[in-house]
Amino acid sequence: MISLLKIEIFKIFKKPRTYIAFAVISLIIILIQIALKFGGKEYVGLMMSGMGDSFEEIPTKIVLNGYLVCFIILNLLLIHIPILVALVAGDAIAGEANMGTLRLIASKPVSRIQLLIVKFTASVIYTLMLLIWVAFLALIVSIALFGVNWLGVPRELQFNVMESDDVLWRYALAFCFAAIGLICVAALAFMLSVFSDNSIGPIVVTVCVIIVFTILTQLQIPFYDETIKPYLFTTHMLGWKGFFYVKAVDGVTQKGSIENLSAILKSAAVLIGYTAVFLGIAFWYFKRKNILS
Amino acid sequence: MSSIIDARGLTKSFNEITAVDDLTFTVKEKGVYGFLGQNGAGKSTTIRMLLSLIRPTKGEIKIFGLDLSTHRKEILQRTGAIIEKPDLYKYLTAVENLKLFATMSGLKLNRKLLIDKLEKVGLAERADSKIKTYSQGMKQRLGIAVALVHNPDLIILDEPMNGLDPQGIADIRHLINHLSKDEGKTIFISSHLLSEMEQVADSLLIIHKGKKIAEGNMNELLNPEQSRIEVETRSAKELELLIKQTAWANKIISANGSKIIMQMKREEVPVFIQQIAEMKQDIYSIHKKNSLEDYFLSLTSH
Repeated sequence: MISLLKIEIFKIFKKPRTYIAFAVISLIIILIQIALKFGGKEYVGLMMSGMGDSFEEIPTKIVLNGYLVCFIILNLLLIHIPILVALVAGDAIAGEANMGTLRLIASKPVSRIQLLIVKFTASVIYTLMLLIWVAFLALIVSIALFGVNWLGVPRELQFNVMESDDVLWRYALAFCFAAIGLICVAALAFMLSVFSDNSIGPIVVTVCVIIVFTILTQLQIPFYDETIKPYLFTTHMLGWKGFFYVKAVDGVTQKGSIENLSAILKSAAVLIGYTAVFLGIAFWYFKRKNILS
Repeated sequence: MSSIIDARGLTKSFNEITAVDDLTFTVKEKGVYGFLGQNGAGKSTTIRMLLSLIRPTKGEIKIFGLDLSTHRKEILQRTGAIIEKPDLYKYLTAVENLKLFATMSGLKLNRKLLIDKLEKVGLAERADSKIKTYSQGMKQRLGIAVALVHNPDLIILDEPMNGLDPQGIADIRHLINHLSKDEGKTIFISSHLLSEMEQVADSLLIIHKGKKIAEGNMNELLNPEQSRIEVETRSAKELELLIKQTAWANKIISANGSKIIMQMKREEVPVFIQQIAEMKQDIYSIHKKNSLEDYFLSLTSH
């Protein structure tokens, strides 16, 4: 099984398209960092407007530190990274069918279940590597460029403020949560890949699902809050933000606290549930699939 | 000689289309078993069922005496295959492709062994070239190296000569003969190149519209002592009725459209020609048909 997994990882990282995701992510993060480095004052001013005079008087270099830059980057990117995950997970089976290699590997003495396990595991490893790369660029490089200080997270006309020594563990958990969300997207693209003989189809469908679901998630229409949004995996993918919402007692934030841990855990459970369903369908179908391509 | 492949009542339907219909055949150990049929006859579907890529609608397959549905892994460990054109990973080199498929067969081969395997198909010098730079013939040869990398006992080749130049075809023919005669492998091969099949195959299975229409030893099917005669007439059915009233009745192989195929001893042919001339039917031509191509067309061209 390990040698099969090595083969799959080897194949993924021999494909030029794999590096497109890393290059695109790097470019976007660097552009955001440059923009905030040279135009951060305006951005922070915009962010703090309406928060009251006491906030507006805080110097930009204190507010705009590495932690906030990382939060801004994740807020902008975590909904787009799934598209890059779909590039690889959507290609996992359909790409083999498209190349004509699926019939060759499926006629080797490896069970179809084993084949799917190693292929999905390889997609998960790629996803985690992409996320680690994002974490490195967004957090480590931002800290190096902007330094550290307390983190102020804007939230509907209020700020959640965390002391600098109360932040890193939140990022660690937020990235773990993001991994669960991205693995769910990888499972969706992987499931679609099993049904297709052309990798463009699963990639495009996954991207369309993410776009439509994200639009629905962000629609400010009360009717959808109870009827649709709780069932969309994209709604739950935003759960990582919960690690930066802290409890406050008499207006004072409580160090080391999380405002609504149960909501985060519920979102994680929903994402894991969706992942299990997507994989269940993929395994059920692929075991019976006639390999004609 | 024990049987290597034993297929019984093999049937595969795709919705309302029956691609393979109640196919039963046996492939004996060692030797080259030719599998013939027109396009769409069900050859690739049959081969895919033998490799468990497609699940049969009905019937059972035993390979090496083991049931394919329950011993898939053990069977595939001893089987190598090329299915249609050998598509490989174009962004990898030949040696990387070979190593990858060897690993999937449970082998860990070092570079020297891999190069030796490529040497056998004449690709050692291009071992480190990416497949996207290969010609069709080179890809075909690499496909054969992939099929043979784990030293299988049974080799299933689906159109292995497709896209090859005459030299390439000759190389594959020599390789098949070597594997069969010198290494004792059992080879199950489908091809459209009937003249090539005639040179390499010991036994034949011919299918038409999913059904078996002939099976047996090549020499018995193409018996040189027996002449196969094709008579072209205005109405084969009318002539057939007349022939059936004579002693030649049991010599009729088939009668379709305007052609009747007869099989008889060589010395009987002049007598037969004289007698059908006396039947006062419009005879347009009489041909001797003893090549595999003639035999194949006589069975399938109606």
